[in-house]
Amino acid sequence: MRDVTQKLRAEQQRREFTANVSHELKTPLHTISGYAELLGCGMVHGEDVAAFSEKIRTEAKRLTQLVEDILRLSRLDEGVPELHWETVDLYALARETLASLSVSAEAADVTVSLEGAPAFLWGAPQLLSSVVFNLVDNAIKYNRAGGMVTVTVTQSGSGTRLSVADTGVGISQEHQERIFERFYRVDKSRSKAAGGTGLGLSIVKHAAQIHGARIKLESVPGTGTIVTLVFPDQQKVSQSVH
Amino acid sequence: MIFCVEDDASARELMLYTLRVSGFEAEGFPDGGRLLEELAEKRPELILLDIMFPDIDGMELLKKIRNAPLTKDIPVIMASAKGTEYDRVMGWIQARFC
Repeated sequence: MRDVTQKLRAEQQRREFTANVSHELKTPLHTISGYAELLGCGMVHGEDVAAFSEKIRTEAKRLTQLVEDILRLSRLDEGVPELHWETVDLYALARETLASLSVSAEAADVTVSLEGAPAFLWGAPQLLSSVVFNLVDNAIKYNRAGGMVTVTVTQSGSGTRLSVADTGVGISQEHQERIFERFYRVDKSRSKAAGGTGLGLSIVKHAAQIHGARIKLESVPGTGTIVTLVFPDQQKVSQSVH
Repeated sequence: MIFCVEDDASARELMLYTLRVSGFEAEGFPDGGRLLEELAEKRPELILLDIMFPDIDGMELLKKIRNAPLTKDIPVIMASAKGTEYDRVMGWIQARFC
């Protein structure tokens, strides 16, 4: 006799993932093709043409982001052999990544700040940048107008610590266990309105695992969320990678 | 009046626009809860219903509509990106027997 519980669970997760991918890809595709069809057959009033073109562009962007996230996760599943590893200053990397989010922070009326000091670890910069981007992007999207996001990078004897704290909507206890699952959304309507793919935190989780980092989530609904990643010291990671 | 229930805002707007420029009156709802609230007040001639919602499964919603005396005769068209044979059969079963 063999216990096939794990196998069945993995198969169930695979089926759910495929169904979700299929649904998430088809929805924007149907919308793009629907708006294009309306424009093509002349059913759109002249004053609406510009708005419809913008909707097609927005949906295409959403689709592109989703495909990129799926490919990124797929590469992480395969063990990312092509990743380039080097000694990374997480503080400098965070500063560069935050610069790419300044426009969306401004649009959401959220102030993003970086605290701490240069902190070095052995890692894949491309992946670490994805971690910072996804955490801060979420912290901006699920915040409130006039809110704050504070990114802190510190180094101590136990390793390098990255934390992203926001003053946003928070996550209730029942959802906290599941938010790192693929396509799991606490508020599906809000997630779609905010342009999320539902894969960002899964990428964070995988990237953390690859770097040997622990993830800690603290959240109070209505007050905010703090996500902390603790990377083991450089020597330990270096030994586990080689 | 046609009620459209679709959680994706862009897809919902597209459905409503197409129906309205085609001469129909149409109203949109982002989830099942709001549709059920509205059905307590108004009776549409047709409901276009998505399957995947944040609050309730579209099939469950169809079952509620079919089981309520006031709404059981309203025609419902399932309109979803879920189009596998399994999904079609499940939609048909819910519409006919549940």
